[in-house]
Amino acid sequence: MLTPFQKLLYNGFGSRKVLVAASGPCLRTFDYSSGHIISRWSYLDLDAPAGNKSSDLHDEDDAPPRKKHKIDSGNASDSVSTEILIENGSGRQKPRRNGFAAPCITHLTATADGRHVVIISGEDKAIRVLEMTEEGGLHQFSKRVLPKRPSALTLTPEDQILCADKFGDVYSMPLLGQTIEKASNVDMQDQEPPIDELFKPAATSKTVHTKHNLRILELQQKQKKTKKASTTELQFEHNLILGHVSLLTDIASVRLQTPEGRSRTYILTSDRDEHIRVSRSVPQAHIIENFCLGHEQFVNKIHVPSWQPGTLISGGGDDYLLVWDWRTGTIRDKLDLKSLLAQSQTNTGETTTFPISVSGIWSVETMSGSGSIIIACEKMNGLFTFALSSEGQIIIGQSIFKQLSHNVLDVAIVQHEQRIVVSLDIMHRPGSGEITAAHDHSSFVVVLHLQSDGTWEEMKELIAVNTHAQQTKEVLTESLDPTVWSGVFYNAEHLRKRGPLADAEEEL
Amino acid sequence: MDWSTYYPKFVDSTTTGTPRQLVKDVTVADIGCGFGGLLMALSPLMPEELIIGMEIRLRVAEFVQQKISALRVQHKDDGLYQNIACLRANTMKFLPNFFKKSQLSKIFLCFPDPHFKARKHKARIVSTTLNSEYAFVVKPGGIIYTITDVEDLHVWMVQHFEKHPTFERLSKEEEDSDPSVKVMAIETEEGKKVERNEGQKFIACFKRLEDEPWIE
Ligand SMILES: C[S@@+](CC[C@H](N)C(=O)[O-])C[C@H]1O[C@@H](n2cnc3c(N)ncnc32)[C@H](O)[C@@H]1O
Repeated sequence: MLTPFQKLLYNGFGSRKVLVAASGPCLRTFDYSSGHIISRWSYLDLDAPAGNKSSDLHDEDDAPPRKKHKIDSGNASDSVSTEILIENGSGRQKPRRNGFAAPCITHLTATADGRHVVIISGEDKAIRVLEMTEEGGLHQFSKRVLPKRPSALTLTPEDQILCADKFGDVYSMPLLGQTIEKASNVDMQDQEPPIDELFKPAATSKTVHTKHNLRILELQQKQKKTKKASTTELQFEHNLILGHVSLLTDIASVRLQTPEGRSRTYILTSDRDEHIRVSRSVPQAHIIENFCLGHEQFVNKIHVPSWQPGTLISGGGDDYLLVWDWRTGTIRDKLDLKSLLAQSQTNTGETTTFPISVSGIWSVETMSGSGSIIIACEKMNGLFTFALSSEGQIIIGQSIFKQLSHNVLDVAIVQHEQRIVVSLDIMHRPGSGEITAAHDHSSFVVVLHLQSDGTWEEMKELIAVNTHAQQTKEVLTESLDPTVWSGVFYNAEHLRKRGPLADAEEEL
Repeated sequence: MDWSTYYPKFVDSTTTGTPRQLVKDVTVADIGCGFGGLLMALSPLMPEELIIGMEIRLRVAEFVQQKISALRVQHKDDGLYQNIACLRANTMKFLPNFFKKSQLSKIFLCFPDPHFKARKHKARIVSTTLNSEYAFVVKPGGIIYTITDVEDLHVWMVQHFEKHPTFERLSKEEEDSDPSVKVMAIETEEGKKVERNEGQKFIACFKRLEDEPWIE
């Protein structure tokens, strides 16, 4: 049996329709129509033994992409999975701190044309661009390692990668950029002063300083003698384009038409400190246009529906969702998720005691120029769905809550069919993070179809995905301990600051 | 943000509703104001402006606010010190929670903590990315004043503001003719300490330019 898919993506590439599923450090692709497995990809296979802690910025893994594990069965419909097991490495790989042989995939997205899939793995700080083969398999095109752990990822309409890190900095880089000798210089690139200058005594004897500062100064002078300058420059093209002083949780790139018919692109960023920022896009990302202020807790997800690009939906640690006119920063509507959830649970007899964390916001556009908004909360076995008026008001239809058998991990949007594929956590008890014995017949994914009345109907499809996931004899290199997986599946609630002490930490 | 308790003499009595509105907006901010020496000196110098000191240390901020209250009582007759106040805030994170776009005409960054270690440079109150937030709250033509006795930090601040397309450094002549510069150099607590030690003071001021036209 496989482990649940913490990330799921629908990717149309040419005539190929592919479901990309991340389970721990592994990606699998399935044929969307038949549900049959196409390929399995893992950087375990590519990377040097992962045992050595790779905190190094210049992880050397930039050799030309190798075609490994090409297990494309050519014609996906000739059923039987043709998986090959990892033949190298695994024996030499020591388990990491997180219990996995390799860092888990935390973000998964694809270019509009479907040709490239971009993934982030948190622990090794790497952004990888993978190329989709004709058959729907994947192979690595590039790997770039950032100085800090990436925490958010998006692609601009021009297919630039925007990624943010847990210290609040946002970088842009070309999708197909390769390792180059020297990082190119652009306006906003934050440069540390040259090393010489850094290690020049930073104060004169006449500087007023505390004992503490004096000690650091002495240390610094000592260091100057012993420490070899370690360059912090990244070996690929990248630009620091903006920054929050807070963990950056989500990022969106939005193109808007002005009334005069000109097109402007913006970058929207959210952070752990309640903020949503609206900046111009590169090369003017140093200009902040606006803030959307109204959350009282961390913001975890922001989403702009394709048919209503002036509207933003945001959620995180608050009990409510907010709908914004993000250009002016005005709140258009507010939805109290907690009371809705309480209502839905009085029907099932369960009660929620844990706080709400919004873990995902998506939308599906309909023909009529509107659409359905889809909300997932951490450890919640169902989805909230509603429509939006053109003024950004929430319209609740027949039912706002779609109950599912297990907690939702991710949602893949199949826009042209007005369907979604929901990835479920069969390892943990519905509605909680408690471990449960997974049943052989539990569904890893379910397909929902948007009905004309705005409700979502469960379809009997992708059965082959579930059958494969349940029955594969594949030898897993991933840890099977469900408590470890809990950390992979549920990480929004960790963003909540606890008590007044959290604030006091700032009092230096 | 409810400013009415900070500037009770400037509450707009013609309107009701909560929070009570002021007759004018705060336009000058002293970021990391410490014990508030600069605020007290600026008060009579800019009687028409509302000036706010922002300090991350709660106790220090409270102390300054008490000192201002006491001064207001002492000066009941001449009505001085009504235009200054101090609040506790981590400005590196929460500046936009206090000010609208283009609200401020002046920001003072006086003797910021130097954070000598390279690893701690992220904690410095000036950086290219933070400067975008200063640009957001300061109106075009507004000025950011910086002063420090740490040359390294001075160089750092100049580099990071000059690299930001929205700021332009003032010339020596412009600096010399700005009365705020003199006050900043002699009236801050840190400035006085440096004076007693006969230390050096490094000054740099930056004008906030108009935003460039959109590249579409
Ligand atoms: C060296 S003192 C200078 C005080 C005053 N400006 C002067 O010149 O006398 C720096 C001050 O900045 C405050 N500070 C540091 N980081 C801050 C932040 N993020 N937000 C607000 N104040 C901060 C410190 O608490 C300290 O009082």
